[in-house]
Amino acid sequence: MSVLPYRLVLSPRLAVPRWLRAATLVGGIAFGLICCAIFLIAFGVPAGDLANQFILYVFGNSAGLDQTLTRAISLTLVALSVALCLRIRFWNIGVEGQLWMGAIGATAVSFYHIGPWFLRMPLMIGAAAIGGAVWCGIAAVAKIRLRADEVITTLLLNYVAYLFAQDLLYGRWRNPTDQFPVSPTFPRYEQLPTFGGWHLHYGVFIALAATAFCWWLCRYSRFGLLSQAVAENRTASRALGIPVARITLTTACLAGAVSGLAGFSIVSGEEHKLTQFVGNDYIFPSIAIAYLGRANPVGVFIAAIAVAGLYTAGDSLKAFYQLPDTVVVTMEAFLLMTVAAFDVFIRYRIGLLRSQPKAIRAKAVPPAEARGTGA
Amino acid sequence: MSAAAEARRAETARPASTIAVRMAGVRKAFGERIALDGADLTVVWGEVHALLGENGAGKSSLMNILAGFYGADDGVVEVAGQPAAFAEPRAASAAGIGMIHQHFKLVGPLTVLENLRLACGPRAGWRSRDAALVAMAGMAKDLGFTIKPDARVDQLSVSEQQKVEILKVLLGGARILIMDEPTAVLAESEAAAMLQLARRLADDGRAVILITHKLRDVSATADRVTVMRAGRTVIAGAPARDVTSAELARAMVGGETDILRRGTAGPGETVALELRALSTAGAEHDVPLREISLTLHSGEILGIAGLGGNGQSELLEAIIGLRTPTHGDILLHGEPASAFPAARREHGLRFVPADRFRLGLFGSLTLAENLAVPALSGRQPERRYWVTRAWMRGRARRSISDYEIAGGTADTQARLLSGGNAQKLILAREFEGAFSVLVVHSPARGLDVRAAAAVQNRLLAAAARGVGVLMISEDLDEVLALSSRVAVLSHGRLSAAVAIEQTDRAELGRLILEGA
Repeated sequence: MSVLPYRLVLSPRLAVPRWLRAATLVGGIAFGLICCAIFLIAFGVPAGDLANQFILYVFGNSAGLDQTLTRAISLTLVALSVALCLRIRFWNIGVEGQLWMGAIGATAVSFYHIGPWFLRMPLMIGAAAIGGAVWCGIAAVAKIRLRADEVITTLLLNYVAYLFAQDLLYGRWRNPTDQFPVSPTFPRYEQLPTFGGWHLHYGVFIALAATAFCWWLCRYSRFGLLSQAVAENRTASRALGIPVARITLTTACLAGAVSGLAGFSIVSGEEHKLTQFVGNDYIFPSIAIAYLGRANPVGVFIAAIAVAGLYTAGDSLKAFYQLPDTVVVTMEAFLLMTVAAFDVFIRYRIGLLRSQPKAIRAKAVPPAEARGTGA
Repeated sequence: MSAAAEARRAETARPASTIAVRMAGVRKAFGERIALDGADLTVVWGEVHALLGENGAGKSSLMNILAGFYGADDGVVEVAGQPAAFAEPRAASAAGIGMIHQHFKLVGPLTVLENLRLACGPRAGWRSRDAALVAMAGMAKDLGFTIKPDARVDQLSVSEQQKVEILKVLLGGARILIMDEPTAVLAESEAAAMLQLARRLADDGRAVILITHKLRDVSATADRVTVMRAGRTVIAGAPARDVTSAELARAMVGGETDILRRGTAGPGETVALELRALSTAGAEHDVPLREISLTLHSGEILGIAGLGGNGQSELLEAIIGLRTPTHGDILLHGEPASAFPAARREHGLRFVPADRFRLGLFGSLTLAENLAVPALSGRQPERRYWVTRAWMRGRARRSISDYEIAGGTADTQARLLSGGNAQKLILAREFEGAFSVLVVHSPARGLDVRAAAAVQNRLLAAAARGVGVLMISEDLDEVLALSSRVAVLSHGRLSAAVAIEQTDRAELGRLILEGA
């Protein structure tokens, strides 16, 4: 039938060896980077400078490294949030809203001077976690009780949180001294300390702790195994007595809390106040990183640093070659698509088959006695 | 029956000189399971030929071979006198064979006309939408259907969708129609109309093969009847009016074979599970349960016989708490059962579902993880904060050796297990710890003889330990071999349970086919 002499045949794999998974991920990333390079060269970046932009500027000097690691903190946290939810097939598209609510919670503790100064920071952390948890929990309750699709609810709650923050910044919380729509600057004891002279702040420890906690949760807790069961088959889970609703709600609240911590880390570690730009542009990177890290907390941590590096590279490309902002998003998209596309190698064994089978040549079959003696 | 119909019946009993389909000595095995073991079927033009048999008797396998879904291992298949071995369904369609499946093969979001064009556009030679519209309108008028060509298929009723299927098959040029339980999904009045239609299509000169479980369909419509049992043809094309319902029932369930009793468990005194007038709502593709009452004692196996699709899955799901009853009560050890499946489990209820991967196992989890899930999900989990792979492996190893689960280690994904080993895995998990009520559904389905015996022995052993076992089974032999009492589930109604000594195959066969 076919005009081509060969055709590709995909046959589903049963068991997938571990090395193949790793190789596929590495292959996908490498291919994505090649695509990025071609794309950048097409936009006028000299091929020789690419290595410079990507490696030296991002990881090779302290300013680049500083920027990369600082950005990686919030990216790790929001991506962990998405990854946790992914494990029970709950689509958390609302990390921005949860981050906003975390930032608002932390700022509220500061603004209303809740607690003595030495308890201020823990209280801010707690308020941020609760703010994020409530925001994601609402979507989980709506899903369990009303069967509302969490893709829609989490997404729309982003806007609610954003507008709530705007309302506060243009109203009650507006800075009284200069009337800018930002909250008053936090006193020193409400700011996360930085590593001498760098922008990099102690939020790193929050990100590390969150990664470690999520890793334990997924790998060693009872909760981790049961959530895997829920993700695989909700009906069977219910039949076997797994509290499906409770696991859904707990996961969503934990994930929201982690996003909320990202909000705290930004207001307390980077901005030192609530601004209008605290929680912008986190939705897409959070999903991309969670996916690149295969929803595995340690993988997410590594992927977050890599994507943060991409942002740093994008900043320098912007400065040197006047490339638009979206260049970073485009590169992220390249990586995401190639990694997703390479999944086909995990799922299928790919073979090449001749379309027209060769005419079967009669093979001389030795008589039965001869075969018997041969063996 | 009217005189006219009687006359027509006599006229259609013409000599079988014009044979539409001849299948002889057809064999087919799937792995170790033999589906067809020398089946015969001969259908002539102009007749409605009923094909009867229990679940798993081989009706579907035989028809799938005829319709080109797979090939036979051995035997003769002839269509209109020509040897036929179809490589794919399309080839069978081209040869004029059309199958109307029980679960319709239509594209929901498309309109009726789009479905028809998609299925038979090129074959019917339609070059435009209008040509298809004219052809459809003509055929629909001829058959007396009123279906809007622009209606979306997923917004049609079940009986309308069935009519679209029939239009699809006929417009595609089918001369031999296979109807797979066409009345199963229809209400009484619609069913009668559908049978009339089958009659009418045969009178037009086509051959209609009617797969059915209902004796009434046979007596009302069919000219001849073929009965299959265990992959063989036991009645080959007898004139339908010459065989009685009792004969058909006996042929289907095998009245002559001896009952091999393996069960000895007698009922204890205490009631383990009680259902009182339990009813459930009927949704799409579901059979509503109608006022089911039963009493299961400790230490007995109560067999629930019946053909699949009569409420079996619904009964299991209602008992384990996945399906909320509309009326009636479920009592576990004399107390009303909690609404939560988890609480029922803690109250000693275990289950083995028929569909092992929908309700029983988590395919992408390992054997060890599957075994650990219930141990971790109750109110008193065995471990809370440090669930290691080593711990899970350790407890799995014991189960794997005790239950002789082959084909995988503790770290193998459950989806890679064969049917028998998957079933042993479920048993290993469900039999862990103390339990007092066990509900099983077709526990030996798809298993080879050895695996089936192993599973059945586990059930007997459980009953001997004092567990009340409710065995819902679509295999009458299994019910007769294991149960101490038996009831029949038919159309969502349950007959009164009787002791196994006080009934026989013929009686049960009648109940299975005709209901209580």
